[in-house]
Amino acid sequence: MAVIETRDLTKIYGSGRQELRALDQLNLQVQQGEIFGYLGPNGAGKTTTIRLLLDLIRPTSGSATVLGMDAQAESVALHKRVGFLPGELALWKGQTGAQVLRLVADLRGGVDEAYLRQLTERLQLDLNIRVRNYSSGNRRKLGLVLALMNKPDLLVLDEPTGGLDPLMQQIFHEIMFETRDEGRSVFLSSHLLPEVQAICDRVGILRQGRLITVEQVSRLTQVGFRWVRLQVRDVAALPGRLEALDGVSEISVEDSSVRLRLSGDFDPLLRALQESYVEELHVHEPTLEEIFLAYYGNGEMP
Amino acid sequence: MSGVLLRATLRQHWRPTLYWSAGLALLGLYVIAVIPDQDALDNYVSLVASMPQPILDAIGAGDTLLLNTPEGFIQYGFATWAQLMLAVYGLLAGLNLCANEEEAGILDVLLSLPLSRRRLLLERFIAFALLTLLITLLSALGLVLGSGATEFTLAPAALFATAFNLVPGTLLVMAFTALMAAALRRHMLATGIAVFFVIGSYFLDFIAGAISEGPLNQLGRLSFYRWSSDGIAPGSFLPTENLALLLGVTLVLLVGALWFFDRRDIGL
Repeated sequence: MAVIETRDLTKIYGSGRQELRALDQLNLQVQQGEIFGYLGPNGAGKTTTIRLLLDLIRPTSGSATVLGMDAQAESVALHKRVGFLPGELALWKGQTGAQVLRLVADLRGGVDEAYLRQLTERLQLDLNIRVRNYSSGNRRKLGLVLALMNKPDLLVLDEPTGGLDPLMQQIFHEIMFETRDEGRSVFLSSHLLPEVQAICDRVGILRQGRLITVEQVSRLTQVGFRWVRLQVRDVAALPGRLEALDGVSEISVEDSSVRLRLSGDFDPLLRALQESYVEELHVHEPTLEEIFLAYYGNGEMP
Repeated sequence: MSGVLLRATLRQHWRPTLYWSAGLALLGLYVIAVIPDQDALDNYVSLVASMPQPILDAIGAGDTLLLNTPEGFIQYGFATWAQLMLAVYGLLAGLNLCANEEEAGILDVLLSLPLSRRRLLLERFIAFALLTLLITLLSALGLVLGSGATEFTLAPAALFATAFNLVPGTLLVMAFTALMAAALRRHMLATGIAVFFVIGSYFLDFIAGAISEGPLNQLGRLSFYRWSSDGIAPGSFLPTENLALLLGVTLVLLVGALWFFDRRDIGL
């Protein structure tokens, strides 16, 4: 059963020359009991999708159903069963964490107090501090508790782990797995590939407002390449030696450094560098966009 | 309507409410302290009466006979300025209904809960209407306490009426600001128009008061200040037609605010 289903969901901001097509005919299905990652660079339309699903903004055309209910017409009933963590969480700064939780619990018509205590203890959240005095990580934890406190059938999380330390990220991952094991669903928007890789079952990739593909995480991560930048003293001779290597491509030279794309193991590259004096060596993972382009060429569906 | 948000709004805003009440009560005490006895009042009236009539009209003291009674003096000295202060309160409260939280991003959290936009706006409006009532009641209490220091016998009911008459105009400003904030997505623009409305209404009433007849005088009827003060006998409640007009316009503005708020995108 689909917990989220959109049909040609489109959102256009502004008009005329100012027109911005933030989301373009989105057709998406998220199934019950899965953790669905919603990936894309900033400005791709992730947050717009979430705001449409929660009826914070209205579609230009198309429709969305969440948990079998119309996202717009039945939003109040729907929100009883949804937990939401916005990307930029803003709360009443003069209130303590406990006061914020109490208000939200009351607006939800009451929550399981024992579960609420368990959540705050697990996330090590001190509720006696005013929101304005929370660190960004603690504010994020408070947001997670707010989203989870009513044991929602669907969790909608926008960049959930920003500001959390590694230990808390691990606890967050555990909570997500437990949520899935209980048959509940998670819709997680992120631009962080490692986070999505760690916990999601499937991912949808969004680019410039269009859903490019929906894929199993395991397939997405088979791309397996990285960027290498070398700073060497004899830069002129190096590209010629590297071109012949297996797995090396897209070599470019800039001043005394060489940038290349490496697929597979490092060993052939390191052997080829034995005759060079290497001053610096930097390796970085490809961006999501680069993985996407590597996987799908120019962005067309295979 | 569950009232959860109403109660939360009362809890969150009780402290500023006390500050506003204290400010108005101090104004009331000051006004009463100026007229400790009939001699002081007579001296004041003589001073005022020596001014040219156009100036008296412009400052709203055209009817010196009205000033000759302590109730009339309080009406002039307290209610005129208190209405201006409460108009500012109404504007700030109107922004607090939703606009400030929308600007801060808090509405994203609130509206992701099982809470309709209409309920949000209505509960908040009722909460701030109650707080406005509380402010005027506490300021009236200041007037009553202050009157003990004078040689006059001032009826508490008359002082409460003077303070209560400030409520409808304040609610109208609140509803106007809410409408602007709901109809216009830009917080600054909505605030600017609401400020213009409060100041413009004041000057419209001020200018109209300086001209005894003609179209400019009639323009004063567009100002809510006129309807909050015109035709009121000192120490009595607003005439029914003034009250009905102010509350009726408030209701129309509020319905407009609900209509716009229910239909537009949030937080853009």
